[in-house]
Amino acid sequence: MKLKIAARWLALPIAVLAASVALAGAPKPATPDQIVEMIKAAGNAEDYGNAATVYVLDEADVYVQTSGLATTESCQVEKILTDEGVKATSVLRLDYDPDTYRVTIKSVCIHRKNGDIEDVPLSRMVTQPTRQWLIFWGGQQYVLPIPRLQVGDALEVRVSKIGFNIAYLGEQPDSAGGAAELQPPMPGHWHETTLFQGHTPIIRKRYSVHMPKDMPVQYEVCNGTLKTSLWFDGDRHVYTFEADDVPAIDGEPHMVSLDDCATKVVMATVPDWQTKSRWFWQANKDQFKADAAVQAKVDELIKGLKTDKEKIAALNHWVADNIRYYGTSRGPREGFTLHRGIETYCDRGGVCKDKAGMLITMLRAAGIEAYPALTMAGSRVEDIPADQFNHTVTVVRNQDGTFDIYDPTWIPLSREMWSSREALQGLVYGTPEGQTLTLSPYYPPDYNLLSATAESRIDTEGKLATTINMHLKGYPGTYLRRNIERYSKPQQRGAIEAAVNIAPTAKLDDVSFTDPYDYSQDARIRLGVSAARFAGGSGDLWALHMPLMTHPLESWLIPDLAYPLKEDSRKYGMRMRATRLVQYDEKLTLPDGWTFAHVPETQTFDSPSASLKYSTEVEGNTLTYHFEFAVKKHLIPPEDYAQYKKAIEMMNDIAGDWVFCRRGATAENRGQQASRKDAANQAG
Amino acid sequence: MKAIRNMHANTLAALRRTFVAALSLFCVLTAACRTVEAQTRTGDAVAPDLSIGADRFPNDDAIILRWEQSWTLDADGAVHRRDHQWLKLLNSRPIREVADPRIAYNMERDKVVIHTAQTYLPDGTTMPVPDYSFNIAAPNDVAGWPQYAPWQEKIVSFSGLQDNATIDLDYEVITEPGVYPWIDADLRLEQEYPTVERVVCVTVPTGTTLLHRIDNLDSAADSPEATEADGSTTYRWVFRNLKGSPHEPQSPPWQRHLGRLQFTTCPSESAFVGKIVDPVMRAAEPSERIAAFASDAIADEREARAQADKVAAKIRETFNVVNSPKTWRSLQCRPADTVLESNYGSPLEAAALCAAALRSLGRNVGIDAAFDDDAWNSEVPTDSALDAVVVRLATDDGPLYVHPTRGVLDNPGSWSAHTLIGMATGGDLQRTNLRSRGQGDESRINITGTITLSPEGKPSGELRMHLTGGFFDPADLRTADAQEKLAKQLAGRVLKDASVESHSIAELSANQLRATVKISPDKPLTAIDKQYVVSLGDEPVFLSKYPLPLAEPTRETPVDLRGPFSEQVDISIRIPDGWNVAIAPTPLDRVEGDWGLMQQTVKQDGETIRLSRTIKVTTRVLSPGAFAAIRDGINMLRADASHALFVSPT
Repeated sequence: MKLKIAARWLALPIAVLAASVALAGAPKPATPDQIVEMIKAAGNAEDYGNAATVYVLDEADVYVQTSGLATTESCQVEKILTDEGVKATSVLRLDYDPDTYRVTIKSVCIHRKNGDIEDVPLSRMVTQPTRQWLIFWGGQQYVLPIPRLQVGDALEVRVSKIGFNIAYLGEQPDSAGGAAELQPPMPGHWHETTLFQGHTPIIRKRYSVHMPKDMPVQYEVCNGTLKTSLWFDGDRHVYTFEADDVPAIDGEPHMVSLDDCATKVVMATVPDWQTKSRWFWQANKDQFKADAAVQAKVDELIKGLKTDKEKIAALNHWVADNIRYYGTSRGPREGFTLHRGIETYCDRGGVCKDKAGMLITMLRAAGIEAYPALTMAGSRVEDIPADQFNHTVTVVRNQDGTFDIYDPTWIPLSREMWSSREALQGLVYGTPEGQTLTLSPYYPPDYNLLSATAESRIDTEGKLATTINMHLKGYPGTYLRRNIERYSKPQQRGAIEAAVNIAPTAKLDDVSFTDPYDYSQDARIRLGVSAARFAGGSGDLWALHMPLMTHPLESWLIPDLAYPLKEDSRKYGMRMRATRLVQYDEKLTLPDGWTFAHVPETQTFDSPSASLKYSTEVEGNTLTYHFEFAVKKHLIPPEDYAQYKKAIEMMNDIAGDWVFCRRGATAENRGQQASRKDAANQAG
Repeated sequence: MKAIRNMHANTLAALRRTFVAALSLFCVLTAACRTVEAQTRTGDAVAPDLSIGADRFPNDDAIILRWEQSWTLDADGAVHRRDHQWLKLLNSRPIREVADPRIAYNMERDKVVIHTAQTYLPDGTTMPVPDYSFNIAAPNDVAGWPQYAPWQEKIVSFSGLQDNATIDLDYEVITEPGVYPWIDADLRLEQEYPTVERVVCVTVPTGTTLLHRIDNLDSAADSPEATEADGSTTYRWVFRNLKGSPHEPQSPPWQRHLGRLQFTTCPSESAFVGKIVDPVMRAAEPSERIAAFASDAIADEREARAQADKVAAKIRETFNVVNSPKTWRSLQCRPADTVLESNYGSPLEAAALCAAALRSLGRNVGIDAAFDDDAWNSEVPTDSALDAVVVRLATDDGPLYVHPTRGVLDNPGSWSAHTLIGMATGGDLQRTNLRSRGQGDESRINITGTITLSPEGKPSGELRMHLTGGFFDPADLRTADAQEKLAKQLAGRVLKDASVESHSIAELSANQLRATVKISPDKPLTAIDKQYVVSLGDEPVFLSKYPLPLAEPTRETPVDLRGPFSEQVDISIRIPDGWNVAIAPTPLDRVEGDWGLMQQTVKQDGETIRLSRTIKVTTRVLSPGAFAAIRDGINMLRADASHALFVSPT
């Protein structure tokens, strides 16, 4: 594909190249003639791996004002390559948020394959609310019908945008939709993150930021390289970032966020994270006053609790479980202002920032020094102090000056105070004196423990009877609680039996588990399971699998260990739900007179992202084994993937291996068992 | 099941005498209700007993304490739809589902009135929904399409939700005259949560026909109360203590087994169908643009069926069908040329485009409405049963039915049970029943064969397959690749590690598929501790086409199948001379019931092991009891012991 694109560019008419030469100085928007020639040279679907469309041109000029407000003039030219592209380009949709930014569609035209250019009448555009789910903040959308396109046509769209990706109004918007009343959340500051790669191939992308020359800006190009330039242009400095022939990102299963792998530019005028931290505190410090009702609830919840840790836990869990997640807007400052705690208490609901604010309000009512914090769930926060956040949490300053983090949004039905799914996540605490960017902790595998012991017996009919005790910490504990609580009480037992996974014939004879809402202890579940025909065979030989190695409740507790790993290698990292330690200890007993003729062999494996230990011991008619599987990183980098996959395959091979059992032990059997035991001991 | 047709004034007079007392009470309550809001037409706005709770419903997450719904058709054609529900939360589990109800309306022709939106807290105090919790969003099913931009949803987010709080929402949608040709509804009376009391009122100008029908409720009143006042007649149904019906996988459609009330003011089936197909037919005019579209779609194809398939394929691949009742409920249909230019439209408009394209190719077409057989009731036609509009293409061999995106519909075919109704010449209804494959007669899958193991442990041999009905669809097997894929899949389901060398199709017709698969001896079977493992599949073959919810141990509702079916697998494994059978698959003794039977036998005759499995299910719907028996038997056959064969050299 690269070669074809290069050839196409060489084929551009000399006039276009000459025009480029004439553009010495800050890069300028493409001219109409250049656009026509670029479309002609853009090729077809075969040149782009049968992509539905290709961006022939994607360019934007951002004009930043000293107030921090910015206007973006953009032009996108998208060529239709397949029928799928025809279907997908029937309507132009542009979202905007009246409270943060406005867009104006300046022109839309169609470059027909035969060279004709048709203007799309903007008078046919309609405005409607966007779809909204759980967060009802009043997003709007312009919808413009596009006359049916054909393969080979291209759509040119010119849009002007004013505001911020996260920006806020000081007052209500005026009827004319002007920008006078728009105020950035941090007056005098601007920031932006721009991706240079996505799921559609791009032939040429340019992004130019026209800064007032006395307004310094910091930037960093992440996840790749771009052509960059800085030009003086009168009273402005023009920073330009360019890329040509950018292929589409081919998604991989469970891959890390696009922001963590696409080439991007992060820019900000804020000097440091401490400034951001102080601003966030100042913007919200008045939201945390408790009233009598909140104080009474706090007093009720912490009554009899002695330590701050106990009080924090009680309040964190109450907010997590009793403040439902939904978002309503209070107007212009909604995006970065936490609702007042007393309001959230009445609503019994809010989004992450409001839940964090509720917890801060309650903690302060309990005499604990608490603050809000910004974080980015699901992707990295780059070092440039641009606003890269999508989530708000709570921090408590301890008496020794250190901080602890709490997330009431992510811990409903969890014993955790901070979700271990949010490991190594960028955070900025909002405090009066200002804090720098920090990371949430790394959680070692044993923090997220699934420890199971099983006492299993096979009767003379080959039927299995087993009792499994599971002790669950961290993430697996959370998911046991949540999966049980998904079902109403009468359905819970059936749901557990359906998930138990030991054999198609498995029946749940008895079950007990800790109360999902009891956070005073780790989650535990005890399963009494029987399974007819677990051992196959007749006469003197049986074949069976080791019961605990079937991963009982796998779909509830460790579903990510069952991700299909078809690829031999990956280009991008793989996101697991959390680190993990799975430990199985099983004692499997056969009827009297039976012995084990073949069992899976002892194995160990270690790698940077995963490790495995398996050892076994046979004594008479009893097999005992210990199995351990550790996921050491929740983000498995591409270079670790092959070894991670090998560890998973080893685990699956042990689980899939047959155990042979024979009636009547011979001297030879006993000798083999003894030597196997010795080998296991040596390996152990 | 009771159907009551054409209830007119004379009948009402008799009913009036019967229900004098009830009428008086109803009038008093209705009058009281009207003081709430000028638009209000009905509603017994008496708060229910809020103390009802977990004591009475210990196994439920929520209770609908009372639900009142009313439809009113004014003399000028305006329609009022009012809905008042008190829902009590017994725990937090249902909150996400019920806390933010959405009221859909069309802002150009509907007015929404919220009469009440409040939460009863457990202490009995009320908390009104604050202003900031009334929000507007685009409905998910039509968002982003200009033609449907007037559709919006008012979202009401309730505050103070907690255990034992009660959500109280009373709203009304008023539609201006001339929008709907009639009022109708198809109401599921038994919801996920139990309902203490449910009231449905329909008010129409006196003399207006109201067809109605109740199904699947043993205790329901056969007839509604009917009262007259101010030139209108109100029909009122009251249902009490309706059971909750949680979702279970593969339950029959709710219309077949849960309490159901249908009503309509549409006077007849022919009026109903006419209102749907006439505007589509009028819109299906060819144009230059449509002719170019059709010509591009068919390329050089000349045969009618192939042309229709290619036109439908082009629509499917390049055109957006916005499949929501909101797009067609008012039965408007833009001209086909406009539809194509916009490149999106409703199912009616997609049919108009398809018809116009075929017309531009010189084809003679008509239009049929396609109704879901589970929902359609010709006695009480309601628009919720409309599933698609299809094109009837006249050919020398009779009519072909062309779905705008699926293409020519085979009968039986993969598109599940539908009734197509169109208007024949002379105005009579023309009805065609489309059956899904395997819907009626028993579908069969038979696989037989002999596999020979070489001394190196390599399997070879042939498997012969015979499939009928729902086990295959010729429409999916038009390419050699598709046929090979199916053959390999089936071979893998009876000999798991088989390597397929070749396959041949002896017959592929609408009725049956006969194929032979040759197993290649290119790799030995897995050997563990000198034992060769012959895995005769993981589970019965039929499950690939007739899945069952085998994991769930309990069942309250029936299990719906595509139809009756049978599986017969007869496999012989020949092992080399002198080899032993270490472990043979475990047989399954015959299990039999009014649902059918299953059995697996395993016999050894010298060096040959014969496995024979018979499964026969004779009914389309399995009762919970029958399913329990089948589940146990099938899970036995899915156990490793039932399909693993271990053989070894001496």
